[in-house]
Amino acid sequence: MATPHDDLRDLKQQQRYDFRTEIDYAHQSRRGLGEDVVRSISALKNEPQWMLDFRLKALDIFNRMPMPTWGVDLGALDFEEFYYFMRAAPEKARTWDDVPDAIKDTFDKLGIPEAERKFLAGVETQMDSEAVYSSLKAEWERHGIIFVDMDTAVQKYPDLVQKYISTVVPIADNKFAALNSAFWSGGSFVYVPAGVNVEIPLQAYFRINAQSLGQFERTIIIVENGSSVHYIEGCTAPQYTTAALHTGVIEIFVGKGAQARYTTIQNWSTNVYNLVTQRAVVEEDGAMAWVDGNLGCLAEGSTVTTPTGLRPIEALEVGDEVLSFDEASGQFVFRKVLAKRFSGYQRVREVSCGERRLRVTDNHPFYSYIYMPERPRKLGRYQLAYVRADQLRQAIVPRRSVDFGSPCPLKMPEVETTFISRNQHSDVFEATRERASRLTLPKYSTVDLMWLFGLFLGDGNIYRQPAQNSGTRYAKVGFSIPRNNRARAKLIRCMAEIIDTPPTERKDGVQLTWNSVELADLFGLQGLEGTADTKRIPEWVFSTPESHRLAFLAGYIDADGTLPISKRRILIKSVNLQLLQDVARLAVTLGMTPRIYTEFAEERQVVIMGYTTTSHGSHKVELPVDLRLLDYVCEETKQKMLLVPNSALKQHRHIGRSNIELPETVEVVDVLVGEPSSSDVPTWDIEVEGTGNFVAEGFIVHNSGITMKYPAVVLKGPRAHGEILSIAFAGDNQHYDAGAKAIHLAPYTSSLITSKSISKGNGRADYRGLVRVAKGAVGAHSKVTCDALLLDPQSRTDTYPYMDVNEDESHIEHEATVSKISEDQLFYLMSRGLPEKRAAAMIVSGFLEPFVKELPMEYAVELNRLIDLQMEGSVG
Amino acid sequence: MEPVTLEIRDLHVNVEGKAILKGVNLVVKQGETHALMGPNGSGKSTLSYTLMGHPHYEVTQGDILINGESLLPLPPDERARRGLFLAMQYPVSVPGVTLNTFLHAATSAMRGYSDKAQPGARGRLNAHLIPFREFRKELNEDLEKLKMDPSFLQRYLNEGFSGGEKKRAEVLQMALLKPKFAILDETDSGLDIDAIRIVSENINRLQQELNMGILVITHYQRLLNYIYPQFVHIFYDGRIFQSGDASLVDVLEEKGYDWVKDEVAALRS
Repeated sequence: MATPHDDLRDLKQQQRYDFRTEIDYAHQSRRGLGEDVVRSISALKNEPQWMLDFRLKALDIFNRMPMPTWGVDLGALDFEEFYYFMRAAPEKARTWDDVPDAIKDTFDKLGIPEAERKFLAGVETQMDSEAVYSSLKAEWERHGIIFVDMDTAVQKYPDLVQKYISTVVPIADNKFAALNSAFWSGGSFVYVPAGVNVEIPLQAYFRINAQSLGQFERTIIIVENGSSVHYIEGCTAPQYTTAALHTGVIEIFVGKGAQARYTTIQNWSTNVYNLVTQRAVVEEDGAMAWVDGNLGCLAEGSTVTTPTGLRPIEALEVGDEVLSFDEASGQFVFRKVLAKRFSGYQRVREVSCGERRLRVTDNHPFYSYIYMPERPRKLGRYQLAYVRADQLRQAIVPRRSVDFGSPCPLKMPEVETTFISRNQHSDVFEATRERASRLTLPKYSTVDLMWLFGLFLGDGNIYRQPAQNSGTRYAKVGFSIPRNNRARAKLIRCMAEIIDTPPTERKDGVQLTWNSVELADLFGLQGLEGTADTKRIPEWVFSTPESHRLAFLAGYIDADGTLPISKRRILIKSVNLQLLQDVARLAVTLGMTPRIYTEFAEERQVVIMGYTTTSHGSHKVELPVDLRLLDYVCEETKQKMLLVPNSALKQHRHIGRSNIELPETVEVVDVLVGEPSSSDVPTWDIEVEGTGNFVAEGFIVHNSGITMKYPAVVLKGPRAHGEILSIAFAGDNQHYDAGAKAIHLAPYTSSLITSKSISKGNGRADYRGLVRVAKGAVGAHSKVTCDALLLDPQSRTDTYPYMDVNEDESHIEHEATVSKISEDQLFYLMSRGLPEKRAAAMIVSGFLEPFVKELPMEYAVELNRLIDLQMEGSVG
Repeated sequence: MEPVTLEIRDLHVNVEGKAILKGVNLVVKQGETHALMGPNGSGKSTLSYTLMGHPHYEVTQGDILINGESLLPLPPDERARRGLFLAMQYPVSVPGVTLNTFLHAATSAMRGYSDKAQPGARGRLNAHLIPFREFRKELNEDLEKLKMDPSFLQRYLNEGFSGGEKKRAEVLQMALLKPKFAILDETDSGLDIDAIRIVSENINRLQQELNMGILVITHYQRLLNYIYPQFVHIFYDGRIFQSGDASLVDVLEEKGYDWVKDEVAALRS
């Protein structure tokens, strides 16, 4: 019977279908690298021949270069897996409404003005500040300052671009520089003529018509003799981008006695590999300062739960929804995927709890808890946290299912028969005849039907007598269900709902049969037909609502399940291991922890009721007695389930010996962590909005990621000075590898490197720096200071200072400190009424003060807000 | 109206498993000034930290109550919001955080400013803070009374402060946070005569204005020449050994702590 709801559902199904087909790669280049991709980028930008030649040369160099060995291991990176060009059009067509709420919310919390927000989110818009921009522009032009995007520079100032491009960072400098040279798009071009001081900082977001920060940004800044400039790239707001690989190249020339300062604050929300080559060459008496801030978050996984059932991670697209755990409310919700990437071939381990099985890399974080024996008992020694797979002992897993999915439209059996006929008027013709249907079927799956399908999986069989030419002459649907069987009454009742004839009973009373081709087709079309060896749970079952999945499972339990009271678990035996794995998978989607045991795998002779027969192995799946099944199983099973004592149904919701009680939706279980795989397998990452976690194969897991940045100064002229100030805030599960390089080539050059890092929640921020003093750089002086602040015992920091000193008459200093937030500082601030999180955020802000001081006011304010948010754990 | 009371009831405290406080009983009413005097190592500072809720100190028995409500389950910030203030003997420094930033945040937190407290303020920058002008006005008045230079506000909290500057900063915080009960832990240490005078004048003024209950914890009589206690307690070996009025100070000054030691030894034998 059709109801208005059915029509609504129809529409919903339709929309979902459209949505899925629409997402394709039409707006991107093909995956991977190639001359065709380079040529199409160049043609689209209408570039002159010399630029195309430059790109092609770079591609050639890229192909012949080895991977860099500096920094973290990037062996897993497979260049062929990325897209190298995304046409700008779909990006710009994006509207404010399409920007994920999580990002909007962050803008909101940061207090970023509306106009800037839209720009940052990639929504094309006229800036409110246009008037300001125009007056600035006139001012710049009057002094001969050029400040345009790189594409414009190639068209309007080809001589300058040709003269300077890739002279500071040669194409062959490193593989990523070559990659950038071949595929670059976006970036700024700045030229300051001799003797001009640019007082107002040049900010990238002033270039309103330029592309926003590109995937392969290329920036050139030329500061002629005696001039000065401050250039600010980026912003504290999360970068909203879907690209998986970012490699920028920034080249700066500082003339004699000139001064340049380059400030970046990046809060990458999605990029995965952020590999930027930043370098400045400083002439005699010149000074260069890099001020570099890095904040952000990322993801990684293997198989996930979506509104349409379980889906392999590689089949996800940005914008799809995946199941995620909301730690604040304790509920499971669907959240949008903000980014997805291929993360190369890596070794993995299997983390399992019964048939909850997930294969992940060692560093993959699972929702669990940590125990800190050194903490005062009063403050609690247990704390909910994400724990790396290789250190995991217990995990917090979903115990409930979100009621995702929707009733599945049934595939209807044909009621038309086509047959070959002949009569007196014509020779042979094809005729169709419509039969009156004997079935009364709803349009969509129902709870009763699902139970029936589940029962069929265990006890049902179909016999078909083929017709003479093709098709079925007649067919019967049988259930092996003796008279005293518990499910018999419910079976007859459910069948009576859909078919108008009563069943026939075999003489021994063991089999009930309905003769109907239509009925056989109903089971066949839904994908249930098969023999005991070949039956499987059809995929559509996984995308039905919770009640339907429970009913299906209940049907199968009623058919094949036993409930030995002593075991207090439901047992289902079968020879069909694959079927049991399907059942286990279905149970995992319902938040149960099933376990599969194999009694014997080999064929053997067995005697059943006096007959000797061959048995093809035997397996069993064990399911917990879940009271949600009560509503769906038949009466007798229900009574048996109710006999199971409550103590056996208890869920583990307490963390260790603490008083932390988990919400009812989750449970703590012991897990087994396997050995690393012997071979590398492809791995994928996704990033999810909100708290960033997602449910994969019955586990709650989080994101992880890597950023590498090493701004460099080459001190070429005597007395040239370089300063590099960098901060990194490695939040939950992030890995930053950042640092600096100073190359002293001339006498009396000096460099000052200050690195500040903060790590929190399993985060890791490393400093990696290089100071090289060439022979002849007499009196060179370098000072490197690394301060690291660890906010909890799970976080980590390492310092790798490399010194390559070839001149005896030089002076190099290195200092490194690691500090933890002191209990006394926290107590002091709290005793003045500041809540713990605010107090901790204040200490962190204080730690970063030397960095923040260097920023223009508006960035400083935003940065402080961002730290607050990071401390609350609500960003990313 | 009944005056608010701070009650310490049979308080036992362990530090790293060692018993330091062994049953302290004391009731301080709003408006009263109590002095707690004792030799070094008698557990005076332990008492003050325990009252404020430092996680290092483990309460094994007894209770601390403000108007009947137990403070034990509360973190330090909640205790502060119940009206407790501890002027510390050794305030820690917090590099990078200016006194101004800190005072603004702390005062705002104490007065219930937060994103939630102000409907419609979501998204507005610094919605969790008292409007700057309003705060600055009040701050300047208090600075003046303490004879502190406004440039002081731009320095990092307690970083490189002299002893006197630290104690003034503590009293400045007291003035802004307006507690019901103030515990002054060795507030006179490191102060010269002029500084003692300014600090104690301000404490006396604040007591008048706020009707504070004060617990002066001190080793010497010196501070008590400026802040007159109505009640004096002699503290020894984790307990209050003797209580009395201001005259007890003179007894102690005359006989010294050795007298207490001998008395206790005599009692025990």
